[in-house]
Amino acid sequence: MTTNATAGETEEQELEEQFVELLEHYRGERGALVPLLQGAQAIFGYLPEDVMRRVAEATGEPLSKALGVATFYAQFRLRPHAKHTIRCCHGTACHVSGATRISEELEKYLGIKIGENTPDMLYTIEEVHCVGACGMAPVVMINDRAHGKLTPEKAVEVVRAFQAEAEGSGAEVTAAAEPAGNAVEVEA
Amino acid sequence: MSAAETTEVQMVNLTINDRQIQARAGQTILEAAQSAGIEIPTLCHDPRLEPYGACRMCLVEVEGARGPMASCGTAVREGMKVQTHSGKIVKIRKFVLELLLTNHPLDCPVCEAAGDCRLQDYAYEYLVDMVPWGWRGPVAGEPGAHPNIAHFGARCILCGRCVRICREVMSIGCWGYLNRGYDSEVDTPYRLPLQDVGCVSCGQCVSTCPVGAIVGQRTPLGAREWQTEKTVTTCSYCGDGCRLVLHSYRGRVVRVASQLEKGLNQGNLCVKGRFGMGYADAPDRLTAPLIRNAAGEFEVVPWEQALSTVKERLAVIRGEKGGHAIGAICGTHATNETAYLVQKLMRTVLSSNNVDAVDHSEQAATEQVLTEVLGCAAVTNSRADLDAADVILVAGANLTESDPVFALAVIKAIRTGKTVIVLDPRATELAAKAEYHLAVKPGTDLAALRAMMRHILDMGLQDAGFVQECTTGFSEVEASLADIDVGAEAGLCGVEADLLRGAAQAFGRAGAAAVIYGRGATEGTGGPATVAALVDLVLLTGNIRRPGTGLYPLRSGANSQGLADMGVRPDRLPGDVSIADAAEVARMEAAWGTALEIEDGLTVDQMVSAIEMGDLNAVYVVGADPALALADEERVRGALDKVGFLVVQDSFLTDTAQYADVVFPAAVAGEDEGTFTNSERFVQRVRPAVPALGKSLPDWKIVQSLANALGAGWAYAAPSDIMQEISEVAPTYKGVRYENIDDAGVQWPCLAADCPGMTILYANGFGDGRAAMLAVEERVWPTVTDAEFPFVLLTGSVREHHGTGERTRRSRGVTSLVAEARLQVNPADAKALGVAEGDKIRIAGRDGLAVDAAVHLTSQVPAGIVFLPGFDPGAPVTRLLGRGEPGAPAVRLMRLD
Repeated sequence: MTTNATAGETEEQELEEQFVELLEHYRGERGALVPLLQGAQAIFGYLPEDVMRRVAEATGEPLSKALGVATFYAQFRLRPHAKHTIRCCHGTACHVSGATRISEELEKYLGIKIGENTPDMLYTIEEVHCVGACGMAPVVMINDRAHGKLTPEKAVEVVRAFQAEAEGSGAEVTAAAEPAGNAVEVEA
Repeated sequence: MSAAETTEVQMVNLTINDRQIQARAGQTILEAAQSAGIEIPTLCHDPRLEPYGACRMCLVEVEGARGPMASCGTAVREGMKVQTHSGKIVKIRKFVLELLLTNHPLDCPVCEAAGDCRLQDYAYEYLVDMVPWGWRGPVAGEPGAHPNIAHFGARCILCGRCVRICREVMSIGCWGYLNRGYDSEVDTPYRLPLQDVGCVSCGQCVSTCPVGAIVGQRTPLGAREWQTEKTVTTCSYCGDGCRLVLHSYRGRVVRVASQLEKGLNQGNLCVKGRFGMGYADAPDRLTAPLIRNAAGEFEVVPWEQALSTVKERLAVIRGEKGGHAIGAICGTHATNETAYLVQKLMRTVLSSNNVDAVDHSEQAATEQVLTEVLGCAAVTNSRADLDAADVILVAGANLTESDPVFALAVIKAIRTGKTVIVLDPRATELAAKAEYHLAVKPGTDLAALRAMMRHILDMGLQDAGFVQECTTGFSEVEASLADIDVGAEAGLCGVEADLLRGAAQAFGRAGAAAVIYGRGATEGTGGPATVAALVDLVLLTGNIRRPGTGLYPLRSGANSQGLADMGVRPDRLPGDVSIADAAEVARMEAAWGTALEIEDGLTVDQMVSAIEMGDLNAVYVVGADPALALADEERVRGALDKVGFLVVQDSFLTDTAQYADVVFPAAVAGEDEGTFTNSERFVQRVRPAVPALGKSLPDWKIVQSLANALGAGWAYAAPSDIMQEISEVAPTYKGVRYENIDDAGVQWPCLAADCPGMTILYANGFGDGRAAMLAVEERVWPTVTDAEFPFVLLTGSVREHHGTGERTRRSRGVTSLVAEARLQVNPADAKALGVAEGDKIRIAGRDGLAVDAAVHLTSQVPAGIVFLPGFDPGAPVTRLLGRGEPGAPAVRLMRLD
């Protein structure tokens, strides 16, 4: 290793070390695919291709199988994730109370499609099946906080308020920045 | 209690559709119904795979069950009552089909699978004349970039057969599911091209796809299922003896398929078998006889002229020097019928025993040792038997490349938790998956085997009873092992001593252990000793005469075994009879009505020397390419150039044919009829799908014409006449008749027309009563490397090509994957040499001869070892072999800029 490694390189090395430790912990163990994928995602924030390959190799399973598992469960991400996640709930209750239009409006507002990141890597919009807050449908979650009883316009307002708070203060957004509708802290 | 009684299967009585039937305990309802001729539709079922139960087409009603049961995954029970086509069941199936057709594009008119599509068949059968939710229109699909395998994802019904066959049978896993629910698809990881995800182009996914989602790439000659004629035949490449179904249309073979549950391969094939038929249509097929004219150029001549020229020249040579001056070399895809006629021509018409197979040197150690120790020079058991083995030792064989379908039996063993021991310098695919990989240094296999035996004796794991009762020579073997120190031997081999002990212990403790071995064990000076050690290991542990035990010598060609059986050996007559056996010679003389020479003839290698000495003046080569096949290319080419009269019979102007005086154009396997005998002694039918091209003729006809031109008066009207004669003269083939082997083939010895053949040899004892164990002299032949020549050069097979590649090099399905021989180099060595993938490199031996090839980086070869396959005349590995070194040669590598 060179001594004048940049901070980025040092961080990369640390992640790599954690990952190697994870792989060695589970190497050859049967049924370890899901915990390995979870562990790897916890380290890297998502599952890059070379990580998928190394996980598959450590489990002795073909890459096709590891990828099958990683794409089956909603918890796994194959692409890097923006800093903040906006999840539009499309469970039955949200769906019948207009979730589709909320998604569309948010796509328009942020200029990205569902599943994409904003170019500044600050926001991702996702469609999820149910966040378990059907009583306040339709729901949008921003990070771990659920916002309910939305309309397309209110949804945009919620996001705009979040942006103002997050980018304005540069700190984590607190419950005080609650502009409209109901908000509930949800356990991650 | 006899063996038959202990293995008797329990039968179960059940009723299917009000019919009383019997099934074996453990069978599924589906299997029981199928064997009773009752059809149950399936989409996700393939007998090669574990039951899956995904498609719900095979649902049946079982009396007393809570709901419909998947017949593919439900075992039969005594007294069970099953309905396969009740109103309720038919309704469910129709519903399933409606759901599938909602999402399956109806592009049947342009689908490769139309006419051979289960979904199409069942939609018709179950009258799915409309879908409540609407049909899905055709979807534009691209076939993908793979040269042989096309993937149309939109047609996929998610049955998972491709996913499972690639994992379960092939142990690869190219295909997988992506996403979930309605978004589910089957594709490669990251939708990468198949070539980039480890695909070996076996086409098992093509063979199992029930619809048109994975199909063979369409060829210009393509034809629909209902337009083609189907011919069942046996593959003409390696010794595995796979059953092929040739689809022909307007005189051309347009597709090769397999039959599920049929043949030794049970529907599995390799890249050569399934996609390697292109050579039949190669533009340089020979279509007329050629004679070298006064100017030294080849000239097309009529058959009569070619035959009379050969007749005249042979008559002169024979008149001047006798039959001893004439020799014949036979290639490994000559049928038994052709091979029999070639040696009969040599022995009875030309009075010469100089007849041999081009691959004799690979087989010689096996034939010599197995005959001496056991009494018969052939595989002792059969592939199906490997199911019963607890431990399999694979020595000197890269099975997944040399015998890709036979290898599946070992892959299955690994998957089902059996212990596999791989003895090989290279980290082959099997070695990577096996429990033990003894990565011995080249030339030290013998030391490893002897150390294993020593450890087995130390642990008292030998089968003392068997050794006492059934063998001789044990005390000599024991004495020869007395001074061995396992640790020291392991050090010599470059293997961890504990690994070697572990492998020995596993082999010694196994209830049944089998040994598969190949070229790596048989070739070189150490071949006979290594084979003897393998046989001793088997005898010492009593692993013979029973299911799951025994010795499996691999044969290099489709009929390598048959050539030996037919007497294409300078010292053996048909039926593995020694020419030194006066009584047998007398019997053959009576049968053939002529006196026979009883001096041993020349082996192929001896023929080369005899040509150099001026003692051999004419050679007849049938379907072989010795210019590339035999060690020491320079010397062999010199001999081919020197020999007074060379006749080559082949489908192409091979490297050997370039030296010929007369060339006979031969039909290819898909145009010829006869039989092949595979590595397991199975005699199987070869059938013509299309007529011979141009004026080319089937080999047996050419040999007969030549014999008759020489005055023989043979009148075989068809290959069956020849087999009739073979069965009369070759004791092991006594009961072999085409009508008896029409369906399944027979494993010789087949002693009468109604004899089912013999799966396990020596079950009733050895030829001479006891097996004669051979004490082996302590010697190894490690290659001596030094600073100047630091690498050991190994050679062998790659799965895409066969032998010297005359046919595979002319098949696009193969060349589009692997066009040229590449030198396999360990990445660490490559780094030190400063070469990257694809760079050209020169491989030079100690005596200055060199071969140039592109580099392929792979950690399958350890550092210090390089590997060059032998199929490419542009990089002839034989140039560097046989130059006086007892084993693998030492070479140096030079980067070419």
